[in-house]
Amino acid sequence: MSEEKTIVEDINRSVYDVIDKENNATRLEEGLNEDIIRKISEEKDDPDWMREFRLSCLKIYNELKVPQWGPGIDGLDMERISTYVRPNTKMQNSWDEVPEDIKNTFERLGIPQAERASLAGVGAQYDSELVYHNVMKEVEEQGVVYTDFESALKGEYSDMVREHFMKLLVPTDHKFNALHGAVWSGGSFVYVPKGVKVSIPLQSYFRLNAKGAGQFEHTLIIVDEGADLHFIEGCSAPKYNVANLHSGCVELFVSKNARLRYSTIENWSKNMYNLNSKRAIVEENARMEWVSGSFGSHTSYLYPSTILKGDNSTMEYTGITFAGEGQNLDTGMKVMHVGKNTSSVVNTKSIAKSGGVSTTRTSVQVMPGAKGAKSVVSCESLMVDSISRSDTIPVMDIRTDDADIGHEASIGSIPDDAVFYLMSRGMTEEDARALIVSGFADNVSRELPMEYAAEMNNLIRLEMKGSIG
Amino acid sequence: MADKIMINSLVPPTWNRLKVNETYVELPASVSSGKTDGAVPVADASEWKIETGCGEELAGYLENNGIGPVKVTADPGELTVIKKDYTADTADVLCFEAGAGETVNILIDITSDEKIKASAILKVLIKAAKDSVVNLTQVIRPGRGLELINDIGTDISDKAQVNLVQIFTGGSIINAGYRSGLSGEDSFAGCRIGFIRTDGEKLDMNYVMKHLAPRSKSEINVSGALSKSAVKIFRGTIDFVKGCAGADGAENERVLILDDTVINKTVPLILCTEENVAGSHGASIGKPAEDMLFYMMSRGIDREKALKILERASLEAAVSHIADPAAYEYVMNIIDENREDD
Amino acid sequence: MSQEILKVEKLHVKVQDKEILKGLDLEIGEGETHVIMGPNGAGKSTLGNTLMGKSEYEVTSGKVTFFGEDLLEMATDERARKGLFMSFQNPVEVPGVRLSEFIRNSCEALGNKMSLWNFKKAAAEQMKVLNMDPGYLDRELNVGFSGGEKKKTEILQLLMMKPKLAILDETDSGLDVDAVRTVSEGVKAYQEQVGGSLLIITHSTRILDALNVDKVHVVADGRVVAEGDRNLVDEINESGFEKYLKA
Repeated sequence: MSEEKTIVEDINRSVYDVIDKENNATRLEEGLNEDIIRKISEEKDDPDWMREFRLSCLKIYNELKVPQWGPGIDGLDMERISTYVRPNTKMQNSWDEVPEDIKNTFERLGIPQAERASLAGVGAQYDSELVYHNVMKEVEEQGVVYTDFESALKGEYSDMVREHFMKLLVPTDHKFNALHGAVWSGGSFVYVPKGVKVSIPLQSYFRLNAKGAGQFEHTLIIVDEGADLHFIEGCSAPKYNVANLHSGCVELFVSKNARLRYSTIENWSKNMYNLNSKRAIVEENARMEWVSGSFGSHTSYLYPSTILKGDNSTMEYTGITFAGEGQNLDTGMKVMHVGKNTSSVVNTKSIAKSGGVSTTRTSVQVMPGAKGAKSVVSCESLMVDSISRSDTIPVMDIRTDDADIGHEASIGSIPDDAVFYLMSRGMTEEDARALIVSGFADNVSRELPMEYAAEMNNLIRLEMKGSIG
Repeated sequence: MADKIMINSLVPPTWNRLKVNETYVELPASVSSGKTDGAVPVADASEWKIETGCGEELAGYLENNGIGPVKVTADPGELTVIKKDYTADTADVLCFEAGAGETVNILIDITSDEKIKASAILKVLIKAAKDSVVNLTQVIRPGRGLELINDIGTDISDKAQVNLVQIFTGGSIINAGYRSGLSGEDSFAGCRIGFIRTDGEKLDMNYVMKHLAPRSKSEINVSGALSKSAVKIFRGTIDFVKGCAGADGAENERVLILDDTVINKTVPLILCTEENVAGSHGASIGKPAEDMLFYMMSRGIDREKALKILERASLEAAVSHIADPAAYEYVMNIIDENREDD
Repeated sequence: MSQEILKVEKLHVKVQDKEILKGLDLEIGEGETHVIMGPNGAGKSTLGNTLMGKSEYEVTSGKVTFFGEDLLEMATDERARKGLFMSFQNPVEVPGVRLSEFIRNSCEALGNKMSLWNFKKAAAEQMKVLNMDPGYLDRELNVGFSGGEKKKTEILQLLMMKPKLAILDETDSGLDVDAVRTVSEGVKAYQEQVGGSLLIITHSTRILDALNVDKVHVVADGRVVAEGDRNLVDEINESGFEKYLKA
């Protein structure tokens, strides 16, 4: 099989694990208190409203309880997390200006190469701040705004940012939204004007290098009426033996007749607590598409949610989760049908292996009056061995008669006869099993841009190595 | 003073805001023990500590009220019919046992007069020995004033089967628990459930299939119809415990929603810590299929009547799986009686 | 011609924005047996479904009268109560509804209310004609029925409901020789017992062997392209539809 698949070079997991020497300009002390929040605010030269907002979020954070329903997060001690680490560089718009070690890291991850090959714009965040940001001239000329969040907060679009910031993901929703509101830093702001179709994707890449630190980037995307955008988000970090925390927020506003596709390949190191929130609100006739691959992190809580507010709005979610040794990945999605004739199509696949725990958690709500709602959910799980765990926890809450709701879930193992068949054609057992798992994930990799599909297949092969016995 | 206890917990839980993680019920401060013909207290209550779908708090409540398990002897080859016509706050714990190789048929018919306002708890515990078959049919059709908890726990040995058929109509609030311990190799547990909920009636279910042994199989099939502010929560859990290699569990739900005032929640969990298993879930929820309505209308049946027929079909889909002819006839007579009333 | 009961004039029908019937004309008199033949996709089943009032079939123009009344104005159940019946090509499965309950309700809707006893007796008699076990009455409607069982069940409904005009949509398709003979017996029994009219949609002719046919219509591309007596059937059997298709 390796011969057949050489289009994709073997990658070693170590590319993700290369640790740069910490050479920060600023690293705030570990912990979370008003003093630290004020320091972050000062470092970032926040407008007054933002400083007050951060402080109010800290209060909410202190009042809210840790969620009781998901994977344990006892290993995460906020007293041991530095919430703000500024790299020793300003944001650049040329890779040549980015400090050598950081540049090398992104080179290893293939970001500048991908930008040249197939992206309309790239933002690269290193710890708490963006170190690189650039947009193709043609795209900029279409009026598309793609900037780091700090510039957006102070620039021409400051009113728009303030109007939308944490309005979908409100701090009172849960403890980690509140945490994010208090310490957020970095991230991107995207505005696509009416009718503008961005034909090639924009991408943000998030790298957390600092040990015992948190990354709290904020992504806000507004796709105006009739516009079209594909946004890609990638993330990784080297592995440490202490906990790191990622608690980003993504807020997506999809206006009438617009379309937004949001793709994520998440490959955090296995000491990462990934407590992420993503939510989209979709107006009349608009379409939201999610593609989500979760491979990394120690513990994940990740459920992109969609509010189908407008009549005839639609959403499609395609996700894969691969939980290996030491990982507890709680992923899924939520959708709320509000408008008339809305539709959602959900496909999730999950794989549990080597003691990993994968939970697929979904919720489909159809509100009274959401006439003509259609929802099709399919959740498939694959158990690679008997020391892992795979749970499927769906909820459907349907409150209209004029709805058409289908749900299917299944769980199974790698079929022995398929392994036998492939081995009878000369494949090793390991390759046969890896091929079957890749096949299981195929409908997800199809949805990804080519480079990412290749990366995902490689991740699967890496994960499947040594899985026999 | 009323006691508030937690029943029908979802394990593991999910988002609190969906309000499916558990249900709280208010129970009378004291209940009296029901009377069942031929029932005798079990010799050793500790032998009947079988987990149920409603859970530990209910078991504690019954214990505190001195409601102990009583054993009803069901003769193999004969249909044992138990009629529960409730008139006051009552609780029972009925135990049934099928010996090795025996087939036992039990029918429990639950009613209450329309004027009665009361709270009733019926807990049924079943032990199915090797190669035995227990067919339990429950017709749950109390009057509007009755709040009922109907809770079941089973322990199923090697190659034994427990087949449950339940029909729910009437009552105000019905909480139903069920848990099968599939502790025997090649054991089987089947649940066929039909319900009609209307006029603000509530049905809160928690059904758990615990696959503990190799090649154990389970099936849950629920079909029902909701209208006029009815509320239904169905929690169905297939739990594949490590060691149950070759196990197979399937759950399926079909719900007809007939208007915009109902609340219908479906929570079908599949939990798995064993590689070699097959678990599946399917749900179809919504208005009646247009092609079915068209077919019926093409035979002259008007739309309203066709809906009525489909509503009742939800019950019959379950009834058609009653294995024992006498039990089948008993239930069909009740359904036909209702039909003639239309 | 005997008294006309169905008249279709210049019927145009669209399905999902595609025009299938393009000005079809048809008249059927009381007690007559008509056959519609034609290649696949000619619009034969569209005609049946349109006459029965299935919602996907959109009449864009044209007129249909049934006993002088505007059929297209009526809801499906009303059409059935006026005496129109269709034997479906693929009748839908309806879990939980017993065949007996279904047919009894149908008869009742048509004004023939029977006690359960009388109903079972009448049904058992007709089932004899169709070589059906009375046990079918207790089965769920079409659920798990084989193709042949479904078709027999349709004809049983025909015999029980005694309509004035029965459309048989490809009732013989997918059946073996014995099953076709049985179904054909059932249709003959309908002719004899009820004397109603028949519109037989088919692309084979086996079902016609034992039946008296008054008129044959060849439908191609949404229109009637040829009409004739029984001999037309034999002609088509020999030389197919080619000569009726546009070059």
